[in-house]
Amino acid sequence: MSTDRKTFMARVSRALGNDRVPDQITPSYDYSQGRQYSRLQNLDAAALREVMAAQAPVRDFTYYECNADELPALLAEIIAKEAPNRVVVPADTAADGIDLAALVATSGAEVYGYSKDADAASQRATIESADLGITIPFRAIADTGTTLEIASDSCGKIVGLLPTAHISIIFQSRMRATLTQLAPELDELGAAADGPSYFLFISGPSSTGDIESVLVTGVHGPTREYDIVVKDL
Amino acid sequence: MGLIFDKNSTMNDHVQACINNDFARQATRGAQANFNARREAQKAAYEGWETYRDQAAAIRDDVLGHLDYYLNQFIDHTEANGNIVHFATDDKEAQKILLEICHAKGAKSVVKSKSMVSEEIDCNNTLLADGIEVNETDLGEYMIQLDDWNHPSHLLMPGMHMDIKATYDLFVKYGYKGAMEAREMTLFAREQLRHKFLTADIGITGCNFAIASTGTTSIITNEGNGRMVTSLPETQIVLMGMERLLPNMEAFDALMQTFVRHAVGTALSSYMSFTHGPRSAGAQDGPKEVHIIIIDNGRSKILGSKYNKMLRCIRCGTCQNVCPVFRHITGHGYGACYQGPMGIVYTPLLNGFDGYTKSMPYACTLCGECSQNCPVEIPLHELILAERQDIVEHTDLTSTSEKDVFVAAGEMLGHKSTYLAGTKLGKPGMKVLAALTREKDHLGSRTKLPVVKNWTQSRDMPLLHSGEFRKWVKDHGLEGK
Repeated sequence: MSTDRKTFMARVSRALGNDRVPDQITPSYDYSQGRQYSRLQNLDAAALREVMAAQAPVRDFTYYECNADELPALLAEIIAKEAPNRVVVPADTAADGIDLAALVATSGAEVYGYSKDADAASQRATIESADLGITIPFRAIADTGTTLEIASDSCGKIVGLLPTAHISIIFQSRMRATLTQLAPELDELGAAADGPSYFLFISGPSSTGDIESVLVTGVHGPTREYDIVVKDL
Repeated sequence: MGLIFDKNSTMNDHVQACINNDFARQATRGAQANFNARREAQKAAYEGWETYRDQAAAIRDDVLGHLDYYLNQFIDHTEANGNIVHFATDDKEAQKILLEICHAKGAKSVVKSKSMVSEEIDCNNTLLADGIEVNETDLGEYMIQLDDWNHPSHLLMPGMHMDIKATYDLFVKYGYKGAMEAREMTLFAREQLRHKFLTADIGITGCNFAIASTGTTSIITNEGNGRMVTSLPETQIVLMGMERLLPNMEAFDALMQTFVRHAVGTALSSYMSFTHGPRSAGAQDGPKEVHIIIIDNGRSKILGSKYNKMLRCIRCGTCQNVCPVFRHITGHGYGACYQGPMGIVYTPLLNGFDGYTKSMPYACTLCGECSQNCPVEIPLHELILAERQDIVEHTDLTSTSEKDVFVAAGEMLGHKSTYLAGTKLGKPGMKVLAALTREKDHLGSRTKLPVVKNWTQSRDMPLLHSGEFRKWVKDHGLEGK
């Protein structure tokens, strides 16, 4: 017989001198008073991009910025550099206002569109063997050069994970200065009944220092990360 | 194994084995220096370093002071998200739950991201003994798995005791044909583990922080293995120490001002994965089932006690990086999964004081470097001292010979005449004792004299000087100066 919740919780309460779990508490620390709340306040769009760009050498990603009409050419340039066997994109990016599959197709690369209705095993094999994945993050944080992905029907969790390289197309309107400024929204997102099952912060490519502290980029996640900020989206 | 590697050994056995391992000591010293340099660079560049430490400590204290409330809130929300919660009072119960889930899913193989609580409950041996294939996926953990399931030697860098040559030799044994070069060797591990990720039945993770207000668990990694483990297998098991809570994402953000900066010397890790619940209906990535095993295993004995602050610990490894004792005896010298300053406080508290753990608080010089650098301001050296006091207070000096020695010493030191006679007889007396143990100018480890042997087991006791100090002062004209 495993320990039940009541017994487990009673032991925790007893250790704190409570005869039962309290219905409510007054936190002993005011979370809004931290110094982090005064950092990077009121930055305009250009300043946000400047902060994000400065993180590229720190987090080892490649940074670009462009307007929406320049995006196809920029994507073609990166795709030509990567020379991928296949480019994986989300199933449907209409909600984001751009047709990513069509944009990538203009580069001449083979495009695979993720589908939640595809055969799972063969789709996973197709994406796993692809050289490049492209996603459109939900949010970005300039301060740390971070993007935020959420699990969705159109993108699943593997489009930006399994291919060797990854491009994030970041809309300027989705960029925030700090994690601090994003945190209240994440609390709301987490509490929403129809919220995502998973969310993920990405700050540069995967890396390790486990072999004699030598920093190596490219372990289990993508080996190269490209962040493109689209200034007018 | 589990919390302590081998309860039939003593900590001294492990120290003796490790302190003479120049190879591991050199590797540890180099890794510590690297961690420390990176942390110090962050400290110099990030304004408000100490303020953020104060804040992190206050937040952890708030959580611990209201742990029943926050834990209850977390369980309500995480169950509403569709996760299945289990409760383990101790390691045995955690193992039983783990196996029950594996059996129910018909699991043949699991992939794991690095988790210290999994070491604590001896997760790997439990699964292996049941015929389940276990694959550690953190590169350091993978290295020590290949090394015949050796133990981690650091909270964040499990293979800290190994240099590149040791890793290369291991990889060659498992089919590596490339150069002795970190990048190429890392690629080999990536290739070896990719198929394991894609085919494993269950993914097992620890939990860096759980968010009470939303019922979410999180894993922070640089390598992306945590991301793979939470994205690919159909079932996910989260092993969670019951104190790993934060009230909300604002508190998480506040902790992030210090945690990763202290741990690895960067603002954030490459990946922070948050599992809110199982995958939505119709989705094909991510787990169909998420099981969360909340583990006590002695934590409720610490909660609310004078050692409460130990539960602030966020497993960043900083105390291990700054500790001079750790540098010399290396992680394996502690013979336990939690090592360094946090380990010598935490292990006896979880396990209770026994023949093994009673030695642990003495592996410390009380220099205080750990307390000075801890991101959540745990007064580690004070807790170590408190444990020593507890050990002494609870030690029963029932040995008659030991009592007799203390009574005799009290008599001798308490009266002038016997004290003076004692100083005269000291050297010849000690000389006789030394001769009996075949020593010449000191009492050594062969001494069997009660009380004295407690000293001589670990260090030599030189013979008393034959002259008196007062006479020496007088002879040198130093009287009154």
